[in-house]
Amino acid sequence: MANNPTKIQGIIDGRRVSTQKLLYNIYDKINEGLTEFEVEASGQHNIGG
Amino acid sequence: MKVNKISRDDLDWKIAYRPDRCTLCGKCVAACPFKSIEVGVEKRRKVISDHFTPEPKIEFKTIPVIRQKVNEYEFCSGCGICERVCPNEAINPERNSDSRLGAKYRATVADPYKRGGRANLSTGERTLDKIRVGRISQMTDPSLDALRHTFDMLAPFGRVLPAGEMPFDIQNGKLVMNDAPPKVNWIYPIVIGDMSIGALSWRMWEAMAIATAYLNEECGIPIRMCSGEGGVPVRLLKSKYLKYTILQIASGHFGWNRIINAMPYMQELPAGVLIKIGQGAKPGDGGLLQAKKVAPHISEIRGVPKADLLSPPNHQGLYSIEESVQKMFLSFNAAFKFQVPVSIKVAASSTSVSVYNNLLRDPYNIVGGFFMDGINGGTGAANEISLDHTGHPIVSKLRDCYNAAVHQGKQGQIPLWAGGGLGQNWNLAADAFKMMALGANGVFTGKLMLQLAGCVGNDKGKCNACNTGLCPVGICTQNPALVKRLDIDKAAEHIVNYFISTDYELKKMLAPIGNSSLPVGRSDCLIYEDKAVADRLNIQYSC
Repeated sequence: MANNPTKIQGIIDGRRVSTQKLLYNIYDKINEGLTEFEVEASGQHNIGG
Repeated sequence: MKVNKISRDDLDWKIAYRPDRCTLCGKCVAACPFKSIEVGVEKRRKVISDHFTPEPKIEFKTIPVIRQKVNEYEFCSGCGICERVCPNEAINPERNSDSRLGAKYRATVADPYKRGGRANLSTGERTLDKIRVGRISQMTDPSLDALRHTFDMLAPFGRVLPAGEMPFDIQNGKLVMNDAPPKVNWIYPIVIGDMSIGALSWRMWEAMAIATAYLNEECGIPIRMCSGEGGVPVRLLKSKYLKYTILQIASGHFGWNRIINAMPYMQELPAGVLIKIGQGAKPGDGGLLQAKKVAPHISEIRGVPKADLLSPPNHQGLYSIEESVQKMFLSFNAAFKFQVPVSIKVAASSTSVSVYNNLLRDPYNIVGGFFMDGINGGTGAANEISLDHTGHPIVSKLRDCYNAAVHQGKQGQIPLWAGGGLGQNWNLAADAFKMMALGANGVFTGKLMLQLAGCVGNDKGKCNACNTGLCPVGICTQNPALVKRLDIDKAAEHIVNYFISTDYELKKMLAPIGNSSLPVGRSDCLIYEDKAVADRLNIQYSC
């Protein structure tokens, strides 16, 4: 798993995803039992540096 | 004679003592939390005759008496506890209209005078008392039967989307929700709030929590209580009654560590989160819990040492309305996975309309309410100068915000909640009804709950010692001996009874105007006997 984290996209179809939707996507994956993520954020709140 | 020394005539209250009625039981001295009275001795001259024919003799006797202390630290606050415990009506405080305490205190202590309670500077009659419900449904449309009609008495806590913006799509001829709509909790239009554990004794806070749960579970009145910024007992956080509690977050962030640690164990989601930016009693100033009130259990629940606890006047790192929407609302919404509505509370101000207008444009639909607190809001501790001289009356400001929303066609989308001195004349139903007719979705009340529990203070300088940690009735203190004076069950019972009566009275107001639901924005039913005020509020002038 460590080498293959789940990818979460901050931009889908060329449009920035809202923080809320991005978090929902993460929650869904957590509920599927996944624990490692790679988020390609695009200025979403509290994500990234 | 020392002219500069404080004298009895400089104090706000003089103790009236009647030695002829006093049995020297000592109850008053034992009960006075401010140590404003003491036992002393006085020399008395008496003429007596103990012979069957008059043979007057002069005798000097030393007799024990109850005396008032005269200094800047142990002055009488007029709470009247001595009078309550006296079995013989031998003692009571009397208001001294010639008081100079405000000058003497500052001149001696070189510190601002601090106190709790409400503004004591009266500026005349309350606007709300002069607003009447003047449009009665009679021949035009039927009035309702307050006793038998079913009323819808629910107000939104959370962002309300207009029908066109609800995230619905039609797929294969079926209505499908394609996105999560903002969470809205429909609750009673009165919120009990937001007084912290710390400002209040744990008994008082618990009494309110018990009353809230009882009103919900037994009386069918879905009222909510806001925790105030002082943490919440873990037992409540993990219980099913959490759903009746609105958690408050303010600039001190007191108690949030415990709330976050309790989140995995929560059986129910809280009713909401209320971010406190400001309060009506001390706008632009932060909360102040003085060290003398930080008892061990308060340190524990707030996660802080025994020291003066100041909530900073501003939220660090929050500089604009846009930032507040992004940072605070989003953070707290996300913390509960967008299932708990988040609202904001500010002190009413000349600038409130700009803030509200800006929030209304929130593109993320996450602002769940705008709470505005007027100048007559109460507090546990503040500088007197903030209490009496800063703030904005709530009535016209609420009206302005409502009208601003109407102007944008967005009324009701971010619910307006108003408070600050409501129920000041003991009738919360009338005040709540009028505020709603002026545009509020609901109201909030705090200090009235304390009055119901047995607070002896008033808005004319009586007691007002909430900040001292010496509350004579155990409501605003953490001193175990004083807290014991408060009967939790009785306090809860009084709050429950008051709301049962308020609910009935609200219906008695709804029925004559023919409203089955809350009268939000029904200002057509209001009249006012002063042209200037009627014009200002845009309601009918009547005479």
